[in-house]
Amino acid sequence: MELLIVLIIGVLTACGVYLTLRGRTFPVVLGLTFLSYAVNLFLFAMGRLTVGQPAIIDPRAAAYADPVPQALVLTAIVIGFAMTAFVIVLALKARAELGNDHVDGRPAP
Amino acid sequence: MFAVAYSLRFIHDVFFNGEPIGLGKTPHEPPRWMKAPMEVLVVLCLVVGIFPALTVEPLLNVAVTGVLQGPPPEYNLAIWHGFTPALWMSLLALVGGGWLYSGRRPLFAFYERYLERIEAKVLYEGLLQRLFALAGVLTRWFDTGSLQRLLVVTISAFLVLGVAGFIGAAMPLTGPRGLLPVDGMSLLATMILLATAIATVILHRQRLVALVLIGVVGLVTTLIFIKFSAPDLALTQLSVEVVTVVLLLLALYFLPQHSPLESAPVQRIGHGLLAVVAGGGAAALAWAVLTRPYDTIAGYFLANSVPGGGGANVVNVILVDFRGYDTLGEISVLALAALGIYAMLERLHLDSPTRDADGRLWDGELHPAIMATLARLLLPLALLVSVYIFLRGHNRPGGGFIAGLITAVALITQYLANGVGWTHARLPWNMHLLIGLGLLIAAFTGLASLGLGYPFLTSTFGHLHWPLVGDFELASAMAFDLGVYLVVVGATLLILIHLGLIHQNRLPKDGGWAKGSVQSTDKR
Repeated sequence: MELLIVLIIGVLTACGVYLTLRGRTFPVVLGLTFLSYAVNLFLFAMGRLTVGQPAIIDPRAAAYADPVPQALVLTAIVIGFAMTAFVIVLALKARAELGNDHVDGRPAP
Repeated sequence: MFAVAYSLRFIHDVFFNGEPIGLGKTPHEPPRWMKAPMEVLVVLCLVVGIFPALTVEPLLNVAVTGVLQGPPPEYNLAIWHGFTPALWMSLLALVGGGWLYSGRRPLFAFYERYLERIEAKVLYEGLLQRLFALAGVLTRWFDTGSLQRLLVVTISAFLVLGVAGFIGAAMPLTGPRGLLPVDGMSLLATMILLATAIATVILHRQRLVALVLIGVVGLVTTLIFIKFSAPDLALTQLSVEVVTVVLLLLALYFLPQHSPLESAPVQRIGHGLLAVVAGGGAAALAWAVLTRPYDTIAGYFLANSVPGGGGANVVNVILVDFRGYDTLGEISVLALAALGIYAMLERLHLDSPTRDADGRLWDGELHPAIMATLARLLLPLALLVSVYIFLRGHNRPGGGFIAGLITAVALITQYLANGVGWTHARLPWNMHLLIGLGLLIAAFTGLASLGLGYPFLTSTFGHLHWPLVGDFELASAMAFDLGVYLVVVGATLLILIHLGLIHQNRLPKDGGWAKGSVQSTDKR
């Protein structure tokens, strides 16, 4: 199971890096979204993987998943949304001001 | 010795070396208050010198303890310690300094003859200029005004530094921790995720397709959180996913529907290689961590969640209670991002396309009646769910963040189904006010505990027995969570509504066009 998660983190990071390196704003925003998935999963995996033992106190539960990375990732997801929103609106603003959607603001060839 | 020599020169030249020479003006006695600072210093010197234990000892103790991170070593402050090496060194400095000063004339002559040509100022400035020139060359080399090039350099630097840290380390990549067994469903989900992620990259120039595919990636990520015991994360990811896709759809309306193929094949292969190496690095790091056992601070939170925070859902209790200060910071960031977006969207003029990518006119017809009606029926139900999720958050998966996102999604659905104009007329809330109110409530719960003599954001809780409902727990953390809820609702709606309104502003108010752009985009 760990191997699957590792594979997912790796592929998401690779996709994110590739898209972030594109020359137009929209793919870059998609790339940042990929990178936030990857980073969130990576942080979450720092608490190791636990199946079927959510961190909800119950006298019958034998063990719990680590709640600390979960709490960190929960806010990271929401902040990630705020970041995505900010960047995409910045992209819109750049298009309005510069007339094109290239990341360097140069006119389309 | 040099300190003694120049001090001697000061004293001797000022007070004992005859009349001053070469002065342009006649010096006069300074005003009274100009002398006061010096007198303070003189008095301090004398007092510290004579009574060190009474004056500097406590300060010294604190400083030494802070620097050493432990108890300070044995020490003893006194004026006379006997004939110690320190005393001999002081004597040596005094004698040497006096000798140096008395022999100053031959030394000055020596300097003028041999060393005057070496001008330290010129040397220093020359060196500084060369340093600036080097920095300029380096900056121009890395930053050619191209974001892509800058990113390649940055990511490569990360990779090189990251790999360099492991060179020479004789540790195996795989640790001793046991692995979980793989089941068929997880394998299937992983395959779907990997396939859609790679398909997104391959098809990224068709932007709408890429957006749909990235939505799938987000949903499978939600499944991962469910599988590995993180229901709160799954709920958050799910609702954020919905909001993000709606947001990107709205934005896509104003952007070209396709990305042109610009970069040369060599450049794309280079970027691809860099991406693969970065992904491999992240995967290797994750594998090394996941296969190793670890110490966690989770025990404290698990043990104190119910007795200390009054909630069984440890993740929520950490957010609103144990780490409430962090959460306060995070909702502030969210509020700032929303206000920043509002500021950027102010007076933004974008040409709305009149035709879609295939040359068809955007549909100006009414919104689909079934969707609009169903969405209106669903609204109270969705709001009820969000209240339920909010109230159970302390003990079961849920809480302010998730409830806020669900409320936002419920309201955004109205915009999607009925159009911006229709919904905006019925939802006259001022989102700025909502965000401000949320932040105020959250900060006030912190200040209230401060006012009652507890540290900032200390929470308390009690149980109420309500007729029919039964035992119901009230925690002050719930007020804090309400602040979180309001900020999340306010920020999310502020962003999406104003993005929708750019479109609205540019179109006649009464025409069939006066609708949300999302609807038009949806029809593709």
